[in-house]
Amino acid sequence: MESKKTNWLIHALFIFCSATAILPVLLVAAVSFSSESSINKYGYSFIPHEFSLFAYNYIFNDPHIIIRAYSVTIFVTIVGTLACLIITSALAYPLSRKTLPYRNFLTFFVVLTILFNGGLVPWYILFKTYLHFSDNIGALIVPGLMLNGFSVLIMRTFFINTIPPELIEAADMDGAGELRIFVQIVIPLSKPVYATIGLFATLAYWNDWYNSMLFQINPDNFSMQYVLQRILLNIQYLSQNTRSTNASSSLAALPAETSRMAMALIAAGPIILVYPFFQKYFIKGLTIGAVKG
Amino acid sequence: MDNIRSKAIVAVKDWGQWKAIIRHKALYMLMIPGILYLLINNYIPMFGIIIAFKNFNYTKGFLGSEWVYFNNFKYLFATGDAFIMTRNTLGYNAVFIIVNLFLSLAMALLLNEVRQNFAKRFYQTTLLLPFFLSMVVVAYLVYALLNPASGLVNMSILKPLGIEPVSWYLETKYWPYILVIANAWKGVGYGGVIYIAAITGIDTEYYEAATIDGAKKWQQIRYITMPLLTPVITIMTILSIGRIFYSDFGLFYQLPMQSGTLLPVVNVIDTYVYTSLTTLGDIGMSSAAGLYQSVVGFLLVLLSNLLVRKISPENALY
Amino acid sequence: MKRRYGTLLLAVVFIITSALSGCGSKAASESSSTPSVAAVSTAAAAATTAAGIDPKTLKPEHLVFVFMGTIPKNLEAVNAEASKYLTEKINATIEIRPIEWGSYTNKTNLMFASREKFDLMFTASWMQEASQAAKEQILPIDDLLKDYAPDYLATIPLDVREAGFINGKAYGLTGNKEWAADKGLVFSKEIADKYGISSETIKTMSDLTPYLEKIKVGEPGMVPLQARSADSPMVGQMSNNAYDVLGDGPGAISRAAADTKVVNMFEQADFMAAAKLAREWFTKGYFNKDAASVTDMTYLAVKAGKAAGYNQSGKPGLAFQEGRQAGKEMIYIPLDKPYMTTGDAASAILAVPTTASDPARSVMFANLLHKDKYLVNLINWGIEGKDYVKESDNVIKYPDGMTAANSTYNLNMNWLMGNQLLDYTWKTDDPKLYELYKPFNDSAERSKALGFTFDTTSVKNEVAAYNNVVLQYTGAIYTGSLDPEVVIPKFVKALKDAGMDKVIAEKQKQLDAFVAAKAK
Repeated sequence: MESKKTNWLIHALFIFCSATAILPVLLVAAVSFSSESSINKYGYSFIPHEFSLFAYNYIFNDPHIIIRAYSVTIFVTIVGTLACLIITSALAYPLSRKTLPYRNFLTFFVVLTILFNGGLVPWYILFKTYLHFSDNIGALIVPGLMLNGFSVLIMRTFFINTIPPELIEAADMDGAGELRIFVQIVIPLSKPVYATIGLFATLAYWNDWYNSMLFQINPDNFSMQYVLQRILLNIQYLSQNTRSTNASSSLAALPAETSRMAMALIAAGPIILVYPFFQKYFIKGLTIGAVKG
Repeated sequence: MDNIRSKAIVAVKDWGQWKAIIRHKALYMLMIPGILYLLINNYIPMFGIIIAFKNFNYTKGFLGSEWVYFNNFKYLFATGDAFIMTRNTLGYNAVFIIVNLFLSLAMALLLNEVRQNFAKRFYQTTLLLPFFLSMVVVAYLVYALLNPASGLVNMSILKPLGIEPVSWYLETKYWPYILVIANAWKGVGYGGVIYIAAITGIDTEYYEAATIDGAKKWQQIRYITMPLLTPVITIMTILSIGRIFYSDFGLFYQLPMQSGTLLPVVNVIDTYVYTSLTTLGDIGMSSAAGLYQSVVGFLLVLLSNLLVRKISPENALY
Repeated sequence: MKRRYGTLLLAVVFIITSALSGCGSKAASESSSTPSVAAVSTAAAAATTAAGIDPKTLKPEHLVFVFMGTIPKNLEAVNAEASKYLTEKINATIEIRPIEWGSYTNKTNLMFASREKFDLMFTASWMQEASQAAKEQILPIDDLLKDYAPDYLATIPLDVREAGFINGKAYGLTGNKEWAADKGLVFSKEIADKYGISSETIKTMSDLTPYLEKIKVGEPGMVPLQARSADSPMVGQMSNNAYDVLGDGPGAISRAAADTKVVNMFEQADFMAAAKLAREWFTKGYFNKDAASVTDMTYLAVKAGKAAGYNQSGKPGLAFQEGRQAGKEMIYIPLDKPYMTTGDAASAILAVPTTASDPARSVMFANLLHKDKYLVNLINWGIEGKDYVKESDNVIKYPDGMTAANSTYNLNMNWLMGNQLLDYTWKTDDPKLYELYKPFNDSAERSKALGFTFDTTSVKNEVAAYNNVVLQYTGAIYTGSLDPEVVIPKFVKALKDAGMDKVIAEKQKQLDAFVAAKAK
């Protein structure tokens, strides 16, 4: 039916678009593998004028910053995502049960949090001053990120649409308690929505720098993305926060541009490597969530 | 007599309600952590908006500070900052909504025409990559392109063409374009995936019937796909209009790398709230701007939800 | 249905408000438990006297000391050591908490907003001291100084202390350091010698132009001068050198003028001339191309061999200090005689935040920084034998195998740590470094407005608007990135729109009153 020409045109267009999506990342990679002097002379380019691993040598000579920031980020992401899944679904499931008294009111209680908020200042003061989320790992997990109304609504919609009430009634007849029904029947049937909400939460925690910026003073508690931001604005951050006593390469001048880009690649690397594998769940979840919710 | 009876009925009804509540007690228990979290994270701070009406004094604290009523707002609107940040917030978001809608839709429709499964998956995967990167990383990518001393654009594109290098982080006139492009770059893949999902959900029988009737591809798009996508498009658009008073803080905070010169074109309400709190230490102004955003934003959400209810009630938020 | 929601909603509101009032009453009790200065000083004064402090009569206290800097590797050991020492002296333990330069203002403002406890902080006239005082973020401490800081009061002359006063009240302890500055440039010695740059050949900024050209031609891959928005040669030349900028907000007095007329510096002819020179240098490529946007420290470019020199405020021993940072021998070319303004004299102040749990103890500690040689050097350089070793009584060096690059304690913030004259000097420094401070301070030309601080309370919003406009324009002007003939008129108009004239009038009024009071 279709002419071959249009088909090729579409391919050409998508190849162009895919290139725009990927090339900036490749540029950063190319710069990080260049020698600092060639960057100073020729500027950034997609193919290194002079290949060099010096930036990586410099950074990994004292990997303290990276190890520390990654430990924080990984811990926060795992704990945060689990906590998010547990409390979000525990709130969403009862709301999906049509027999629950005050169900509409409680749903509105969730919806209102999407519609209106008190703004940054009172929120910040509450968490920092009164709840003491300050300079501790908890401050990267709890404030703002752990639960949001949208996720609750998406999960609730999913439960309503996929869990037949008859199933729950039958289990109830058999004498199963509510908790057992939830854990043994509902959760296994709802894996896709858990995957989706879990991925959103993982992404939010992994990419978070805002909470570090607001709540942390001690650099030991900074998340990877916030460390990356400090380095973008002040390259010395990299050399000043070393814990190394190995002088050999820190004696040399800090390769400002190339090590900056190397840090960007180190910080973005894991997600670039991993996302092609989990995007499937992501897309599946979007079909449930965004379109229906 | 009647009175007593109705009271009795009410009592019985209340009793029934109580029984229902008790029967569901396990479910209520499940909800406790979530409800508590929302109370703390969302509801209590709502009461904190009173500091927008106070002259916040560090020694007197939260409740002790004196009331100045609308003074903070008066200052906010007197300086012209309010106008600039409102204009920027609304202007950028309006353009973002239109550009991203158009590009996401185009991506979905065209990708749907790609028959080779491998190519289709490849394109989709690559176009989704930017969505997974943090704004800090995006700021690095922009910096790699625009860094005035050694960035790709100045050194590898403009220089060979004999064009004078541009001080990108100084020239306000380019930034509206830079921000729109960066936002589209990051968001189109995600939007596209949503529309692809919607297109996949369309019953193939429609197309089969159309093909038998001899409808051309573009006719199928025009008369089948688009009409069936319209509800999704409407909902997505109206939802983003409801959020038009809130911007992506990371986009406006990270990408300009805190270049003061760019402030007039990159300052939005969210960045204003943050910087007046942290660089000026002005809690009053900061919370006044925050409240302004909350209230106008709330009205906009209500308005857009009203629209959704008119158009497709089942998609309304409440 | 509706009614029931009503009652439940009420219940929820009740829960929320009671929770909030819980918080509220906590806030109230916290603020009331923050001791008023007078109460503390009288209560504690009974136990101690100005002459000596008996630590046994003091209850144990933990002090948090916040300033800018990076966290050295051995900080915990030094904190422990200093705590042990201070427990004997003032029955307090100490936590030194350096905060990275780039986020110091942000983080301290957030700490204020959340009323976090900290007991002593670095501030300065250039770091919003006046507005911190106006917002009651820091405490007036005149009485405490009298009772607990006799050594401080004895070492710092009154006119210098007064420079740090806000509305006639002391808000902190001024550091004993250089209180004036001669603005100039530092160059890599190798390059300067090669092209004949020295204080003999260079007297004014424009003398440099031909030399910069020579460097540009002779050293490919190197810019003659590394500049940043906040750190360009023109900044040094104008602010607090050709003009005394009189604290926050617009309005400055000219150093050359005989009167104290407050003018808008940006409209003056010599400012335009300086801006044009900056423009000339920028277009000819004497500055780095990314001058207006780069945020890295300027010396890094010299260290990396990308630049030959940069702007710096002069003081005795500067060339040594810069050489240590840049990793090569540097020379300093002063372009003017030392000038002492309020801004220079109050450039390092240790203030007591309103959230301090015992302001008297904070002052006792700060006073020790002006008196106690052991403590000062412990905090500045770390633990003797581990982080440094003694070369002679007053001169120290790194232990064998250690260099500046792998030093275990590289705080390097001695310029803000109380009395700098107590510091050991490094082997690489001029051993007489601190002896040069006094003649330097004495030789400085005093600004007619020395000691004047501008109270911005009545024009708070105009000053905020002014700061915004300045942020937008000055970077581009100082680095020559944009044509001053085009930009400065726009800039001036934006300043006028921001209410500059009102601020200048207010500043003039306050300055006139100050001058009149001083004449008495």
